[in-house]
Amino acid sequence: MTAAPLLSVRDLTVSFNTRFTAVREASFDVHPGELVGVVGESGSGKSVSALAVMGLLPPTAKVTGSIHFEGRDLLTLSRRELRKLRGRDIGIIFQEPMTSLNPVFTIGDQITEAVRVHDPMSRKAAWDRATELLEKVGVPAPRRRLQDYPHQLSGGLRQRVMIAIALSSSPKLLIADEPTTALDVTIQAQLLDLLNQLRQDFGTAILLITHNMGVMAEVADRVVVMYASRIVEEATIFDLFDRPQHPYTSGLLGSTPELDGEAHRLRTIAGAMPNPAELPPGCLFAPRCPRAIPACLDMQPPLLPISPAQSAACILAPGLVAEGAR
Amino acid sequence: MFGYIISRLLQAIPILILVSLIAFGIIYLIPGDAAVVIGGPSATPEELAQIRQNLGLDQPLHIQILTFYAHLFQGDLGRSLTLGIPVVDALLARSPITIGIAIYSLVLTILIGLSTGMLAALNHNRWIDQAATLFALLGVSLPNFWLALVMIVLFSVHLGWLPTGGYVPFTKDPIGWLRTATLPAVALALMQAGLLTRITRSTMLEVLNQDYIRTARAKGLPEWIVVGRHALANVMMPIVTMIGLVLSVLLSGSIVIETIFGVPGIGSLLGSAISNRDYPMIQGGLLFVTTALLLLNIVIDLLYTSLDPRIRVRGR
Ligand SMILES: Nc1ncnc2c1ncn2[C@@H]1O[C@H](COP(=O)(O)OP(=O)(O)OP(=O)(O)O)[C@@H](O)[C@H]1O
Ligand code: SF4
Ligand SMILES: [Mg+2]
Repeated sequence: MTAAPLLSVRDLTVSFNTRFTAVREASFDVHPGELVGVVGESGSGKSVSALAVMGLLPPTAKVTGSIHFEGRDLLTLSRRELRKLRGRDIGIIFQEPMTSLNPVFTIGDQITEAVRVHDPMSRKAAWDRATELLEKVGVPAPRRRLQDYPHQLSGGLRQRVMIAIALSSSPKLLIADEPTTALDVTIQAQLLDLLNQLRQDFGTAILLITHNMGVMAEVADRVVVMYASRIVEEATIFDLFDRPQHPYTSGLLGSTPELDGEAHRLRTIAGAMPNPAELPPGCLFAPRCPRAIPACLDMQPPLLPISPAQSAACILAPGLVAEGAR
Repeated sequence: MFGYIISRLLQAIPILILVSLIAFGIIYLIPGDAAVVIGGPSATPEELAQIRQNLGLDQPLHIQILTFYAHLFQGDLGRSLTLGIPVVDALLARSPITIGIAIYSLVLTILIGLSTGMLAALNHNRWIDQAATLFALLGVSLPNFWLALVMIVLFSVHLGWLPTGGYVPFTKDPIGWLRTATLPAVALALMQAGLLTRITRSTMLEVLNQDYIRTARAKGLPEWIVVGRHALANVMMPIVTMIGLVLSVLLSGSIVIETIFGVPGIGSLLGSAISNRDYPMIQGGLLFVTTALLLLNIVIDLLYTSLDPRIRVRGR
């Protein structure tokens, strides 16, 4: 893609105190209308990266690097400018559908509020728009649902209400943090269709975080693989499945669940992610890497391009290409 | 909802029975001969006999209990020994004064407690937070009679802004009422405000960390709506349950405060009843105040229930 990226993250580093860093030097782009997937084990820093883009990290987080959205660095925007962008230009679906809705307000209140904050309109018009949105995300009997409180809805319905809120102002970028976890398979498929439809109809760019490689294969254009706070590989979905360059990615693919049940956690690679407080020397993946060589312990390999559309952070990566070519 | 009200009222019955038994028994808690204690050392045997007859102490115990309840159900709490008027009349005449000051004080408590607690939470770990925490600690630990005396010395004696005591009915002269009611109300409020500050602060800190607050911010809502609508609505619920407790403490505090400021409310009525050993008055006051508090707490419970949709609207 040659057009200017919609979102361009460079050297994003997020630490919560001097000892603990959740995201290190992450760089990636999302182009208009593109669906970029983010995969990685639990705790690898996916949600923290997403929250950093929204400027929604708690005040204890220290964020460095740059996050350009339509050319403007979100990290330097005033609170007011950032607030205007949120919800209107960038929408987010959180990972926690059960707790992300305010328990004391009705669904209708919470959707219309999102609609009206960026697009002042009468209560009546906002109510109609909310009904439309619920319909679009596949909530049955939307009119009646608007009167309900969150506790009256199942997890799947709440997740869809969250999606409706995120879509309320037709954002240019939608961040979806494991949007399918609380949903059953049919609804999952519906949701993926919806995401695809959004891209086609409105050119919405989507940053999709998921554990589910099957989901990824179905909808993603490009995939960013995260491991222990770092991006270790970035590739088009085809390259990723055909010739993964990082041993961690190969491991993930070796343990790919099909799109057939609840989202499987990617845990089948032997060993566990390093404790962030005592990181191993050299490559962070070395303790679990089946291909590790002594040189791996010397330094953390940077994320380097292997081809115009693929990068990996592994000293063996070019060698892997050679191997693949043989 | 209706069933809930009924069940709450039914729950109050055993408490009322217990309280009335305690009220009845007060006279037996007096060590020695009640008539002697009431009549004083100079009372003649005839006077003592008269006192016993007036209080019904010459009757067998079961007759005394039956008479007590028979009178109680007719709304008759006996006659005050010192004032010579029916206890009920005395209580009813004085209660508007106490209720007025209690409401004034409650409003102050909520205003001070809520705003200080919110300010502290919104400035977590900054100096405002520490100042508010110190204020809360002082409010909770300084005795309110001491605060009352300090305020009299400061605002009445030195600055001369407000009278040292006395009382003007609101209906006669609202400004005069405000001038006489303010110091007692503030003295009562400060302690409660300290408590409320603490609770507001900790609840607010917890609520601000909730996922739905993050959602509110993600919508692009301005911060004052995030805090003033989304957070506050959730902070209010535990606070409403607190208000029953605050009121109970306010009323017990009013005995001392009304006495210090010479406010002729229920508090000073009971205070002097206690020092004059006016037993019918003490009994009546105890029953009256506990019943009022019990009803108030039921009302607050219902209010709480109507605030929280998770209780109000049961899932389909
Ligand atoms: N507010 C916070 N304060 C301190 N540490 C945090 C905070 N939020 C996240 N972390 C830590 O940052 C690390 C990365 O968390 P993150 O939520 O980004 O993981 P994730 O990749 O989204 O995992 P999952 O797949 O389980 O959602 C974790 O170790 C987490 O404990
Ligand atoms: S650098 Fe070494 S340890 Fe790290 S992923 Fe590559 S081969 Fe494995
Ligand atoms: Mg996450």
